[in-house]
Amino acid sequence: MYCNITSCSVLGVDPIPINVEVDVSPGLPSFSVVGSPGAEIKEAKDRVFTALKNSGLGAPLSKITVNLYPADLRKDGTGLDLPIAVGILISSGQLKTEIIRDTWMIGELGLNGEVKPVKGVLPVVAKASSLGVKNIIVPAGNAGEATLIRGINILCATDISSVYNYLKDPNSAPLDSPEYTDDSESDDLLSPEYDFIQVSGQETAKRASIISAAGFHSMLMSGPPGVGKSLIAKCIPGILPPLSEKEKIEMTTIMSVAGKLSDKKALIKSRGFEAPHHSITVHGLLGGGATPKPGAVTLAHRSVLFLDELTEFDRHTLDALRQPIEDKKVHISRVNYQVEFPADFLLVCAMNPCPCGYYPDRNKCNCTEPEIKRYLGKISGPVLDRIDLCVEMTPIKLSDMKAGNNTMSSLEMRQKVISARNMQKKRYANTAYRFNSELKGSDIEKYCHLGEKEKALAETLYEKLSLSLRSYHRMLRISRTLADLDESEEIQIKHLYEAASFRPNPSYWQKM
Amino acid sequence: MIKENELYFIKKLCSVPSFNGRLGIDIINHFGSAENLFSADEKTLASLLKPSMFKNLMKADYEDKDNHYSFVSIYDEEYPLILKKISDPPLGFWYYGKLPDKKLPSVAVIGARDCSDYGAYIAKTIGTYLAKSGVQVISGLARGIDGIAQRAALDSGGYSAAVLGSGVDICYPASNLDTYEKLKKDGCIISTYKPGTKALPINFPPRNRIVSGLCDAVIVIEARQKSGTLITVDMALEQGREVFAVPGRITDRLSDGCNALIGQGANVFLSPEIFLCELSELFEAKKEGEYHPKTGHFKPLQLSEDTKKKHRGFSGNEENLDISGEEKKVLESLSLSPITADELSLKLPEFDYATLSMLLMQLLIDGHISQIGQGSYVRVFK
Repeated sequence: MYCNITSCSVLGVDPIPINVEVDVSPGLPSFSVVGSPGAEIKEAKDRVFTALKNSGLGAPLSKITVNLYPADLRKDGTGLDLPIAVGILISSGQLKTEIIRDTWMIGELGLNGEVKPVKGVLPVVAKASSLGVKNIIVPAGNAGEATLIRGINILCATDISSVYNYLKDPNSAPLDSPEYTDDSESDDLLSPEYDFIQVSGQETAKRASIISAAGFHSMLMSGPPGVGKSLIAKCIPGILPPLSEKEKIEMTTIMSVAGKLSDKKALIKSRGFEAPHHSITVHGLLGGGATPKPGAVTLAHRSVLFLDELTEFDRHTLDALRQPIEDKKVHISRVNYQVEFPADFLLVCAMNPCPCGYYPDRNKCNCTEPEIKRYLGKISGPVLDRIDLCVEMTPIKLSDMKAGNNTMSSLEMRQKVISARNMQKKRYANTAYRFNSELKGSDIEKYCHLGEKEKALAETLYEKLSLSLRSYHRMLRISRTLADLDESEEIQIKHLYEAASFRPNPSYWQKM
Repeated sequence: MIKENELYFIKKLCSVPSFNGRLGIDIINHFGSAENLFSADEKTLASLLKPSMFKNLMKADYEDKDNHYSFVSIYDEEYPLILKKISDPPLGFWYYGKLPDKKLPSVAVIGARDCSDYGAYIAKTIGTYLAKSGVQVISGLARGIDGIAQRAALDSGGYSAAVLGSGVDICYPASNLDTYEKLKKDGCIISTYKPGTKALPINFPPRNRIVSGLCDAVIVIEARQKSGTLITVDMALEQGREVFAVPGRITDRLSDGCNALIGQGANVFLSPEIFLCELSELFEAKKEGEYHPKTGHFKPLQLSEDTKKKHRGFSGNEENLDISGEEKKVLESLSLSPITADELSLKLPEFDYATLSMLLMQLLIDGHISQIGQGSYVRVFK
């Protein structure tokens, strides 16, 4: 006997509906799975058989064939255990039900028959809902994320026998159908774990952070060890503006696919902080694998990607960042298909200015010029070119720390960032742009309008600082953000000067 | 005048570094000529020399390539007299350009390779000043102080000679290539190593004795406590040259070597003007007739006591700057030690961040300050 159950697998972050066809026929006992199953799915037969046996449901000693449609698409993950088990129950005649016609199911089975949580439930439920499916059976452990989606009946399964009983008679043995409960209202944003008020001095770095957050400009801090580079980076998520509803779902989807959602607080409400170690590979950073998994850039979507010790990263790894920085997504190609991961992150980097870490303080630094040159050479020109704000930090004296602590708190800085973002929202209302840092080509002249005096100054800066055209445009974009922070429609002289002060110093990066 | 044949054998002997000095001169004296030396039988040589020296000599191999460089031996008239008088003069050396003028004073300007901006500024000023006063600047073309001083001397139309630790045809370090080319044209490149020799670390200490040997006085600009520069100073003292050290702040590690030299009794370099006065006194006292300043183009300032007082300190260019009051305030807070905008804002609390960064950029584009590292600033003295 044959039956067909719909489930869903996830490719990248995109859900792909899968038809699980099960046929049980007389013949020598065998179990074969066809339709490009991955290793986990081939193993499913042992899990399914044992789970059925241990739940007191019989597994037939017949010829069992499972086909996964579309058969040419490689499938991975353990979410197909549950539909295969139910398919066997129906095909072997143990279960008669009509419900599976408008019900999807997903879940992994334990040997005792328990239904265990799987990765990527959120996009699957969203897909089912958008296709007008009535019910979806998900593992109880994934209830938190599944209930974020409205317009579909979520049924939570704890073990295979409860699913069996439900399908047999939905009225007498209903499955738990929880509702979404919004317990907290963005509370974690109001008091960020790392607050700029904890940072003494370092005005330049703070200033760069606020510009970076307001216009989504990437940033590089250089300074000796222990100066507070990492602390400042950790403070940045706290001054980024709140997430929109759409962005929250995007981020939660990625975390669901990566299996990083906690059961209780499923919806992600605050921006994250992703800090991969410098030994990370290209695949770890961009994503990859036989069936592509999201990398660090995708986990940092709409959040901060912090690369500490930038010069210690493999040069190829850093160079691979260029495409996601430009496109804000990662393309991964496999023979049969292509996967696209979103990767719209705010790049924040930190490094020492020289191998020993103390340049230009020649009292501590003994590095020779060729040594420093070699050290800086680890960061290729194209990568440096994509960094908007460069800042040097020096250690602060204890006496100065006590004296002038008129620091803004993260909350105050965030207010400024939000108002600057609102100005950008208004300006770019009917365009594809969201932030000043995204402006390209002729739109730079259009949106970064300069008065006569300002234009003359911009030209002087271009000549005197021997800027490239790219760094000239970068200066204009940053001064646009500075003007937005001042809530000024026009870019002023002081904005241009300040923007220019954040350029990478050519005499350090090239001549050294 | 040496015969062509003999010249070849002298060059061949010079091509062995351990023989290009007192040993080479002595052994030629023993055999009467270099030609005799090379035709002597091996047994005689082996009994005269240490085994390692004998081995080196046997390996001697020299072929003259026509490469526009010249060679001078201690038997030639052009050989610098001042160098002949040191205890271990080279038997001969290869060179490009024209040798230092015997009638003019020569001063070695040496110091740290990775110098500070203070050192770089002093080197540039001294190089320029010496060149304009007709003093020849001798150094080693190294990165940092050496190269900066030589470049400054050449740029202001003066004469400079570089003594290399590699063959004359090899520019080391490569970053000083344009200075090397300019020296070839307007100055001199000297090496006791045969053309084609690479810049090996062991070549440098022996070449330092030539640097100090070619000059009348040595100025040390910046040196750490343990520095190769101090090797040159030791040799200079052995050769009886006057050593002048540029003092630095006691907190600067790059000035430790100079300050220690002053502690040991070296002359203090206070300003180029005072140095030139002292140099001319040195001349008249030491090198009667031969190097008399009045016979050459050397025209040191004859400073009166009043002027000396005025020149007691090093004069910068504070006066007559065409800048606004605010800019001046910022400029005065900057020195030759790098400082970041953050540190500056602690010194100048009256400016907010945006104003300060604006003033700094204004000063930067007008060339009054320069940017070191990613965001540190130093003052520029023109």
